[in-house]
Amino acid sequence: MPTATAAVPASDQSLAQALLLGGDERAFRELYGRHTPRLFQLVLRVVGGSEHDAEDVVQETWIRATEKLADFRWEAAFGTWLTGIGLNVARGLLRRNGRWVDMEGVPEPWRPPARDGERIDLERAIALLPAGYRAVLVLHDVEGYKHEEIGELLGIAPGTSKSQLFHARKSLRHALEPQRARTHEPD
Amino acid sequence: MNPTEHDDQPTPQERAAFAALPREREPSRLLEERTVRALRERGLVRSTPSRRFRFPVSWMAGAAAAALALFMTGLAAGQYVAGRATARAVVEAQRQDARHPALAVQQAGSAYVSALSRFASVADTAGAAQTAQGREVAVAMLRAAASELVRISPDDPLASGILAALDRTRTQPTTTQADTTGKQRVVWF
Repeated sequence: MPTATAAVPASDQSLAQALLLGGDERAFRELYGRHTPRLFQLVLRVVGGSEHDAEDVVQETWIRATEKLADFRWEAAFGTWLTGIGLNVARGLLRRNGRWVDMEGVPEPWRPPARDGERIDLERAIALLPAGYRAVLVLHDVEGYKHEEIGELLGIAPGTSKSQLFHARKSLRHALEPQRARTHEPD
Repeated sequence: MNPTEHDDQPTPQERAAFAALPREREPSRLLEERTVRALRERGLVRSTPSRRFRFPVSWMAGAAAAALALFMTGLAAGQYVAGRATARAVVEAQRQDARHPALAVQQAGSAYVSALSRFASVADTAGAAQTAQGREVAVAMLRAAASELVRISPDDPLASGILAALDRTRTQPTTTQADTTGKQRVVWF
């Protein structure tokens, strides 16, 4: 019995080739449609919930990725490579805004914002974390990256990633606790 | 590094809470257009030419048949509508044709009565011969009209009565009319 042949979607690599060789807009839009929703959500969390900032980061990420496409060796997944570029762009934005500190230094001091007794949800609590903590926690606990991968993505040592995650989780639990008088002092 | 950092693990509730967070989110549609425009400006993408579809033969045949059926339906509808319009025009023309003679009779009748009225106003000053001639013309016209009416409606008692009365007066000599000058002259218009 003959079977219907489903159209096989073009691979990321063939779309990237079409974009690289011919500037194929359709190929770009296909790649954009495949990878942007995940990239946008990740970047949105890393920049602390500002959609405007996240959109700027995503746009710049695609521009840089298209410019560097010829250098990509396809040893990693296209999405992972794109995420690395996106995190670099996001870090640059946070650094320019004075919200990104050197992770290899002392842990970031952080005081949870005052609340009126109500509990806040996890998304909001993540957004309130210092940028460095937030990036590591999002990559590890939400996105599932390993410390070695996070180290490569953020340009830090794996041990630094573990330390940042420890502080991030502690701060997050603190932020999610019912309201009581407190001031977080990093360990 | 603090030793507790190695032992720190999220609780099952925390893992579940992290797992429940959405992993994807659609940005605004404008972002895609903005990004494509920025790439175009840098010469990294070229505008896509309008997409050209290739239709299967069966689809083309179906489309041709549908187009033909649509054309025939339109043609039939047009003929029907035009036919109805033509019929309306013919009926209207016939109605107009029937109306025109009646109008002509009315106009001629008014002219006849008007001429008689003018004739009556000058009858006193006109000569006897002219008066007799005018009267004869008027009666002849009346008789001709009555004769046509009888032809149109043979059973019309009014027209028949007028014609019979005129015929009777024609056979009797008119004592009031003293035409001693010779033969009467009738001028037909």
